[in-house]
Amino acid sequence: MVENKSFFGRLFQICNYAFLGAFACATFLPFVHVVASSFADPAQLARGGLIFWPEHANLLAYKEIFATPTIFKGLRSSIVITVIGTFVSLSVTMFTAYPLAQSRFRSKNIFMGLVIVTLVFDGGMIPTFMVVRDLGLIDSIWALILPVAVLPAWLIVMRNFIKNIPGELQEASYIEGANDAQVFFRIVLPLSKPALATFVVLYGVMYWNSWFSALIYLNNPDWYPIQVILRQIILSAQGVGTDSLAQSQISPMGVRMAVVVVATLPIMCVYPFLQKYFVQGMMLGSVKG
Amino acid sequence: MRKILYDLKKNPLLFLFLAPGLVFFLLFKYWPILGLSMAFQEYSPFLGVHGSPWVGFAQFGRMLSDPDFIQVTVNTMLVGVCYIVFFFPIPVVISILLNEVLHPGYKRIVQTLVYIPHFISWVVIYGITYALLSTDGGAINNLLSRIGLDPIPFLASKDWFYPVMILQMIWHEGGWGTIIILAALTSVNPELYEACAIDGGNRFHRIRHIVFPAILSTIVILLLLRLGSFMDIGFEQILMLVNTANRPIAEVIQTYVYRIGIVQGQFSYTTAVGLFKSAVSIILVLGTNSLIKKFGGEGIF
Amino acid sequence: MAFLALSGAYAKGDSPETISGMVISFSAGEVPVGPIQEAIEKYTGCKLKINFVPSEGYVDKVNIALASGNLPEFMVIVDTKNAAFVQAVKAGAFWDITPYIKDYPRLAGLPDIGWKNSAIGGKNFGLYRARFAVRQGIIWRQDWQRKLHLKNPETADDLDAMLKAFARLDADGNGKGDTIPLVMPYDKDRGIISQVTNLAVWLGGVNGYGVKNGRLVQEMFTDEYLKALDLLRSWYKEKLLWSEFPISDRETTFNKVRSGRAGAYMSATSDLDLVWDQVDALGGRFSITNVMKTPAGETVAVSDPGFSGIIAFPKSTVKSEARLRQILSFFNKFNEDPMADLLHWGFQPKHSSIIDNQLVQDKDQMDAYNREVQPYRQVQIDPAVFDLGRAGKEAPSTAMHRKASDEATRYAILDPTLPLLSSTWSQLQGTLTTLQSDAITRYIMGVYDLAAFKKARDTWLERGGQKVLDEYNKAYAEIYK
Repeated sequence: MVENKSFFGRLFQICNYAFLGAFACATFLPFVHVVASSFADPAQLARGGLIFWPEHANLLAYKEIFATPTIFKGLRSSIVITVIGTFVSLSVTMFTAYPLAQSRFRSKNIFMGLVIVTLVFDGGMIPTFMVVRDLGLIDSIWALILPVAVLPAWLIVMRNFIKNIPGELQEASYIEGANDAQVFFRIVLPLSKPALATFVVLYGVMYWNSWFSALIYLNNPDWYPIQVILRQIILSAQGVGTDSLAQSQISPMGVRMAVVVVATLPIMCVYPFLQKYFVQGMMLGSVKG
Repeated sequence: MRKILYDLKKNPLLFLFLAPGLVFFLLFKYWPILGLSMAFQEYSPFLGVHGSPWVGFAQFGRMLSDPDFIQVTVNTMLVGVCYIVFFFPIPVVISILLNEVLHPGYKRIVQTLVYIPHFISWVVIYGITYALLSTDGGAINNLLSRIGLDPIPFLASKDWFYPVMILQMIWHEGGWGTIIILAALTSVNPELYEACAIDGGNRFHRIRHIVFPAILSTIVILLLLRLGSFMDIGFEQILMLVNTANRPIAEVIQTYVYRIGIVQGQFSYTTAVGLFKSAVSIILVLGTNSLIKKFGGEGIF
Repeated sequence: MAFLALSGAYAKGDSPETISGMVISFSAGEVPVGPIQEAIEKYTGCKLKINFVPSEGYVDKVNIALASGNLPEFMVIVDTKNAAFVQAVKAGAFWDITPYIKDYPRLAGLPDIGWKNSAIGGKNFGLYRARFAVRQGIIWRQDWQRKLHLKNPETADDLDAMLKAFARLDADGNGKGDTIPLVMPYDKDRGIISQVTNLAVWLGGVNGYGVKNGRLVQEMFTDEYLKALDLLRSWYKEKLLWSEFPISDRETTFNKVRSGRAGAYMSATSDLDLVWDQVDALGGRFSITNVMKTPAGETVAVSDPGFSGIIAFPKSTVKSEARLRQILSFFNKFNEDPMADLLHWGFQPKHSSIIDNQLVQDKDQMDAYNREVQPYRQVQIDPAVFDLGRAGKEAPSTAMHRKASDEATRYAILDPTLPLLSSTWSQLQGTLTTLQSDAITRYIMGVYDLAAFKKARDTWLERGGQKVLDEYNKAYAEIYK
């Protein structure tokens, strides 16, 4: 990146840093409130208001979460579903996007039309359930993966990314007699690292957050993903459904905040590792090399 | 059809690539679409699609003769427009600004911080909003009373609904939206920047002629995709925000149907409404797509 | 103690096949199939296979079960007026158990009011899950009341005086004047409809619907209801009623009580359990009541439906009358005293302990109880609610609200439309409820004047309310002729 050392250049830099810094603070501070609230004692939470520092910090909310025996099963379940799901989704999305991005592929508009229709039209919960059932997928974690393997919107974005890859290398390969598969694996795929990284995050988060399909398609609670369990923990902390026994030191709000932290932390840790793929000139750099 | 046969012959490998996706769409998207017939029935889960009586367009008639529904549809479209005009540019702007940051460490930190809100559920966000904006103990109103002004009922008034909603949306999704755009930005050849500088261009030239065109196709795609879910924008968020005071402008189709349709198990009505929404969306998408192509751009189709 | 006799008891008769069931669960995570289920199976002589479905997806799963035909032998139905369920009942999907109940003493012995209220079109299509019939009332800070030398509120006027006195009190001594005399939780579907109904009944009015001049009328069209609205409106204006009530959720409302800022709370008195501990820690004390005296001198209490859903038996899975009888006899046995005790206290010392001849629970035991025993209570028809087979010490808050509720039951004013079916109501419930909720909230806040409220009332009629009334009146005449 070329530096602009003029006065306006400097001014811009300062303003830019300040603005971005302010925005980052604005997004970060409420998260501080969430984390602080998860450690706060119920009396402080009952008073309401924003909390940036818990007064009598305690781990009660977290204990409530991790004391649930099934939480670790849920963690295992979510990890398995996320890893397999992301891999499946990434593969199928890429495989499908590739032909649709090739101008030589004359039927691409027909298939794109099919995809766009599914962008806006949806059969609904019960019809989809019937299909999943007829395929024998009920009570299997594949029911949480296959029906959502490709998000039409993201397929379209992926196709767009592939289209934007400069064509020279691919053409050179074709001239040398390579076929479509070879071009895909040797050229397109490596050049798509930023796109792949993007969709690892996007699909990963999608699978990690899934809870509704688990409730609908799974009968055996063994494989409930962590989100299902966390949501129920919040409900039971609120005293919903439990009757005569008094709730004591747990504040439902504290539990809810702790749930946000537990559910968010894993993903937040993943993104920084993927950031190196978002470096400028990545694609071209690889081409040169 | 001819095109497909042509491709099968000339580009068989490409078809192979397409195969898994095709199977997916047929199985999990198109097969269930047959269930849309519920919109023309008086569907009962117990009787099923085959046993439930057919009522033709009765559900749609009910929909269009419901005075609330018209109001709610207008609200939905206004929310959508607000979103496109006020929110949509934000991730673009932030991405471009982030791109201008020289210090890689600062860039990384900001990038990681701005997308955290995406993971916080709307229930929690409403709680934070409440702590900030309520008239009884809310931080902002406390400040106002300290400088002698009257408290403002941000959450219980029609006037403040849109600003609050947009600010919340920016906070929640602004950073997350930068992920895709930043990925697109990596496709810019650094040599182009150097060339621009050598030619005497300053930062704004650079952004206008190099950065922006590079991400333009991505932005267009994102816009079109957003139009695809135009009628669904903001459901969970608005569900928390809507209350008696702002209902006339805050209630959107999704929250309305949630209250009267889904919760009561009225599948036919919900499906009919869904069809209506889909119809509007597809018109928007195809219409905008044509418009873009007329201006020489590339649509999705 | 009765539960000690559990280990040897075998039921007479046989039930060879496993009974399958679908039950709503509020437990976080999996319900372990362990000693508790074994104890139940041993006592009743039946094997059980229960699918505990988390509450969040329960209604959807019921709908899917109905749609896919994959039904268990018994299932909890949470809302008996749910359109999908009513359609299924009308189509003959479930057994009409009305003729069989009398053969099972434990089931027949349950309060009549529950059978009446849970009926669908006059017939019982499932076993109702009993809950306190009277729960609506007022909770207030007794220590504040004492400080101000107030008597227990027995009429709406007393309540008014108490709230005004509370307003003058600086409870936490911080000189900020931030005391809130009255808070009310705002239900996300019904708003404060319940609370207005409470006041209306306490002023001599009807509960939801009532009979006036031989016909059913809806509460909004009674004088007492308008009086109640005016009272609340004046409270709102004078800042006796918390101004944030329309936009605050339940948690936030509870927090106002827990933090010691609120003096009184109007809603279900069982909510006392959720605020007791924190206020106790502040040194506060509570008092509650479920009954009030009307201006005419009559003692009244507002009745809730008295049940929370029913347990229904799909005909497609329970194929014969004989099998139905087997299952009913399981439920009969399951609701006998030793089972009630087991489900109330669990095992000792895992779920509770015996100290000084009284059963008590500490936090760890409570957690174990909530995880392992509590879910089975969703299967129970819960005679424990009615003081059968109870053997132990309860939390002070529970003891208080249960006593108050028991004493209030005989004064209960019922909603006569509970056992009646109106197809328009099933369809338009959401719209009409929101109309009423918005209208009363706006009137209380001063946004509507009386003319505007009356107009909203008429809109309620136009948008389907009149049809609902007509249908209810027709059904009422048929059953009570």
